[in-house]
Amino acid sequence: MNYSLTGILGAALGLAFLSQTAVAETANDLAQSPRSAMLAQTCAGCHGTQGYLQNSAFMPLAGMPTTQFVTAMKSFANGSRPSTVMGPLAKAFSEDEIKAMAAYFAQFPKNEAQ
Amino acid sequence: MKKITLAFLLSLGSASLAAAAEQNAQDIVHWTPTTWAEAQRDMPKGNAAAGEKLHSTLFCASCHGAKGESTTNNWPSLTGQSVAYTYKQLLDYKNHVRNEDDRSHLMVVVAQMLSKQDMADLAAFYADQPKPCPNGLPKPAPSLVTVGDPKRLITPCAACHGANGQGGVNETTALRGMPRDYFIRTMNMFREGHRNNDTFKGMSQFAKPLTDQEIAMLADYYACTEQSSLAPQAKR
Amino acid sequence: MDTMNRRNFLKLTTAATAAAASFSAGTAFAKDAAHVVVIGGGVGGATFAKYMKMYSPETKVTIVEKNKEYQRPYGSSEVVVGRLDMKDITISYDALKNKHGVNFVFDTVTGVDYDTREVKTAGGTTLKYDRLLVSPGVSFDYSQIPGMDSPEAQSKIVHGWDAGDQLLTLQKQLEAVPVDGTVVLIPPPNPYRCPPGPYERSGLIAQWFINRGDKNAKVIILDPKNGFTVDVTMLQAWNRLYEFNLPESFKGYTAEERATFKKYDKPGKIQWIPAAEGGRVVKIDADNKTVECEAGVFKADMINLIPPLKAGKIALDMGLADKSGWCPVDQKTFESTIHPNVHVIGDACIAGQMPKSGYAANSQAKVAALQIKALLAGQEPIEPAYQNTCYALAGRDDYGMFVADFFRLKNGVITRDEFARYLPFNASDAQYRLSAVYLHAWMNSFTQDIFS
Repeated sequence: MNYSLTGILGAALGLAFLSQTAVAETANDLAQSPRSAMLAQTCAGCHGTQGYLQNSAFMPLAGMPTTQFVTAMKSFANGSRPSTVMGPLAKAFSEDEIKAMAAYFAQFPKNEAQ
Repeated sequence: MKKITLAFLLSLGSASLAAAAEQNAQDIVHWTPTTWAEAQRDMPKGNAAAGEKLHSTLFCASCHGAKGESTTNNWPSLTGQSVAYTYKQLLDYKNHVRNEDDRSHLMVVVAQMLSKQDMADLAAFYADQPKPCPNGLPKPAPSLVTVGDPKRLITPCAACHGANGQGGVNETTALRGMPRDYFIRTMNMFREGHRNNDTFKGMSQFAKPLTDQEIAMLADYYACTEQSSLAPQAKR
Repeated sequence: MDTMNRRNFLKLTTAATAAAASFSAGTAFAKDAAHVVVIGGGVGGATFAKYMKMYSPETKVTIVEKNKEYQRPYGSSEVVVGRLDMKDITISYDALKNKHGVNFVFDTVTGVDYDTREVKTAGGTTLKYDRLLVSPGVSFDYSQIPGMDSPEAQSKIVHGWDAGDQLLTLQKQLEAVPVDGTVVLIPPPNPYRCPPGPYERSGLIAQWFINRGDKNAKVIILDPKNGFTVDVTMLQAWNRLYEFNLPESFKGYTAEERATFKKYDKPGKIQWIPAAEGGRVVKIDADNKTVECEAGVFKADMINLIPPLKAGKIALDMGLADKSGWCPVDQKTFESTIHPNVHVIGDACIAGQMPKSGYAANSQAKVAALQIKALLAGQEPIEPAYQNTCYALAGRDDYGMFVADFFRLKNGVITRDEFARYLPFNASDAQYRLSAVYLHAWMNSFTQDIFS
């Protein structure tokens, strides 16, 4: 779809249509992209659905600032942060994938009790 | 490597951890001011270099940061804590005096591997590290910190934790640079009575009347958010 | 041109209105809401139903399951050694029903019509589906083991590999083993459910004997394989804990690593006889409790045979399996390559390099939920991502280990990313202890991710 057509239709159809064709990759889009959910949900077996902990031995991910998530994953992957299980897992993800997961978890309100 | 293996085999000979973990609540001996004073006199002299080694082999850095400076919002900063504070927390974990939830259980498990000498060494190492929040706490300090709230019998935080949040006499926690979420969690634990290893029952009392908003405000103040690498992007 | 735009506009407006109507209708389904029927309320089926409702609240999801409560097989060997009760591994479906709006039909499936897309149950219910998801678990194949063909033999020697009362049978059999007795444990050939499981159970039993005060009781593992998931961590642990002698034929260690193993003068509390040293079982005498393998005959006080596995019976009956006994699927969407609009996940499906484990079933279910959501909307499925983490105990409750893998789809096959997946050989005491803590924490977290 070219730009001018997007403009015409967008004006005609309003927001419902715009949300599907928006080109700019905002943080919100990244957080809500199915691909982000696809990657992030692999963590839920330990870290809880959407990163809400069910056992506080793990790190809560829901509402984690993206910088903290990205720093943690990178330092697990390069070994500067020692770990049990996270080192092997963190190595698997590309930089973009880590950012996508970070955006996914950051969109949820933090549970302050965790 | 040989040393680690040896330590490992020796520890296998010690009492089963599972048995220790099942220790009954009534067996837990809480501190009195007298027993804590004795424990401090009894504390071996710590060796920071030995502590640094333990910090590495015991995996402390995984949660608490390369030198004990927390790199997360959720796990406490150990740098800048007094020797007495760290030593006491480790003793409390080992003796199940501090075991408020599944997260602290991780420390209960780790502490079973520690002798008193190990604990003193670790305490010396963390006390030696540069203190977090080097430019000091934000100004002005909230009134709860400086004057407390006499109507609710809340002593000012600074009275025990220091005017700069540096920790006070004895085992009082250094709060300066304490990660925000850990602070909130800990206050909730004291408020609800899950954590009760404070010798003088100060925190157990002062935390009770605090509101969620007050706790969050104090957490922000002590976390030194502007100086923290963990600050949410919006606040930068 | 003017007419075209107007037509498009009308079409899209109609679509937008319909979408708005289904949102405002809340949990009351719009007339044409898609219906996904799930056969099997285990890890795969339950995870799928929860996540499908989470990703697509307007889709109607119905689980057909014969049991009113779920008993989890993961971690259930702890029941055999009395560390857990049956109630500890029993889980309610209430949260799926009440919190997530999943429908349940507690019944057995008796028929499926792939053309009209209907599932029929024994109780007479007919369910029409847009997509069918089958997560049937495993069934057990005794046909290759002489001596185990009769129901009588199978009642004396049980597997305890699918939760249920067999766990209690094993518990009673273990308690009846005399002082200094022998347990023979026979793991299945690949592929099978829970790869570290038979070895963890062996360790748990060895530790149970120690706790009972037995000095010479032993577990003998007669294996049709020469290695297993987490073997390098497990065998090292056994050498430290259970006077285990490393078999000469084992290839998993460097010479340097091997040199760190202690050598014991007599067979230890656990013996492992891999296929290369004659571990393959050729015959079992259930009455006399003897097992004949290529290496010789073993007299046991208790035998725990986990026979070869196949896809769950319902999947076999529905014609979803191929000659291998497992169900071939498009590994991007888990749609059956035999019957369209039907997806198979969990232990029963052929999922490339993914193991048959609870975590894998959970991960596959989440992938399937996103893909089925896309397919129902007429969209292309997206690039999938899969993970597996299995924790295991060496036997003692404070010595844990794990395998952790991330998988991607490569040329249509789920392929493991090649990174270190175990604790390192020179892991510290703290790492084993913390892994054991995380194992127990995981049991809790994982169960909640599926059922809460």
